Amino acid sequence: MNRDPDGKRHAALLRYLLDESDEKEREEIELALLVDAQEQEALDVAMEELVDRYVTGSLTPAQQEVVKVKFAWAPDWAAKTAAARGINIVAAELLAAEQGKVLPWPRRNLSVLALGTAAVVLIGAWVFFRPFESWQGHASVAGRPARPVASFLLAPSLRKGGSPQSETVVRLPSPPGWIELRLPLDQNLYPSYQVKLHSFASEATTLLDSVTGSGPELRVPVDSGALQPGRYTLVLQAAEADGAVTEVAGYSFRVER
Amino acid sequence: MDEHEHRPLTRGKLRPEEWDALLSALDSDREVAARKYETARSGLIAIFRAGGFCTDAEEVADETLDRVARRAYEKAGTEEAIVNFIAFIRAVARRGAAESRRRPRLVPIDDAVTASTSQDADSDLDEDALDCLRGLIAELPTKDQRFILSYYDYSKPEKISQRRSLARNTARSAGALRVKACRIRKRLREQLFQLLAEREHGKRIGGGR
Repeated sequence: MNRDPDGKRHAALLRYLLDESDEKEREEIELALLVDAQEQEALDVAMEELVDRYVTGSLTPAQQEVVKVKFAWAPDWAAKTAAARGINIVAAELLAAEQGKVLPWPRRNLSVLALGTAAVVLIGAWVFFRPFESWQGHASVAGRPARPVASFLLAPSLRKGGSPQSETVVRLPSPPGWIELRLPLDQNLYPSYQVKLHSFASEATTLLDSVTGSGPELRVPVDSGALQPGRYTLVLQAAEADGAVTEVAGYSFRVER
Repeated sequence: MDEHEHRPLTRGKLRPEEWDALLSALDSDREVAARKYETARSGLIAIFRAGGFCTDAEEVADETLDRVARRAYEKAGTEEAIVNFIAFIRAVARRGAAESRRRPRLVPIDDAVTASTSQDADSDLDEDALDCLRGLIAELPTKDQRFILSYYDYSKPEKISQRRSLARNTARSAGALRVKACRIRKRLREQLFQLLAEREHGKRIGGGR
């Protein structure tokens, strides 16, 4: 079943704007534009989409050039593209902050929580006495050692409105090396997971290698040299069968030297 | 194409009978005809803008309809009456667009300044403008704010699936989401540039004292 019945029309209007329509399609569209206000609105929507694709570089190089040549001199083009970039920037900022909200950090509790959770944090030495089955497969990847130099268990964060969350501290090993972040899951339902790491200090979001695991815990290898002191959020996402991306869990932690 | 369609596009005052002929050709009901005229006019503007016309899409649309009106008047009641009127409007529009591209234009000085600064199609908002935008997005109704955040998820490879997921969660078709996103985005843009213009105006007044 087609879940987007007007998707074809939208695609045709995008082709029209990109000068990719054949004469028959062009005629059909222009005749409709002359008699149908809804078609005009649909063209407006297609134009907005085109602007979005242009500013995010989602068009082919040839299409990008067509758009630039056709519309660069239109009086509202610069305003449209600048606003589209601005909206994307602000949305990105808010989404990053949103990930922080999913993982609240009540400031007043920080010192108490830091002490309270110190016991929960598993540091360095522990890992040397534990078998690392899941690391074996990665041993040859990008010079990563078979065993991490330290392992940290992160507690899943509660959603907004939940009880205060303990703060996990990840201490950077010296010298730097590969560390392991262990992520407990309520249910491990997906064959693989995508991992996003967001730094509150730099506002940067990094996509890590996807991870797989069959047990109730996932292990994510991270190069400690890439981490800086400060707060981080790690978000686990998984792909549904239809391609949609679902957020599975979030974990917060603080990196210290 | 006859001599009318080769005649240069220039605006002259339409005579009442030419105007009548145009409306009659559009519909026998006067009110319906007036609405059809407005739709045809905005359709022409959309076509010209989609073709990359810069500042004069409205002017060329009006010229096109004037020419069509004269032609309708001349041919009304004759054996050469126009059969497919909308197709005729389109044919005249195409001719007019081609002519318009060839002729030099007088551009008001303000527009010329705008046009000369518009060529940098890759310009960005400065930090002040971004702050305004942050404020405007923060003032959106919560529902719209949630929507725009979900729609504009910044992670490009996930965008399409993100929107599919959004469509599923909100029980809307992808088309309805596009329309909604377009409306919110346009409203934000208009508010933003209005706000920036007001600030600029305020600065000018303040600076002129």
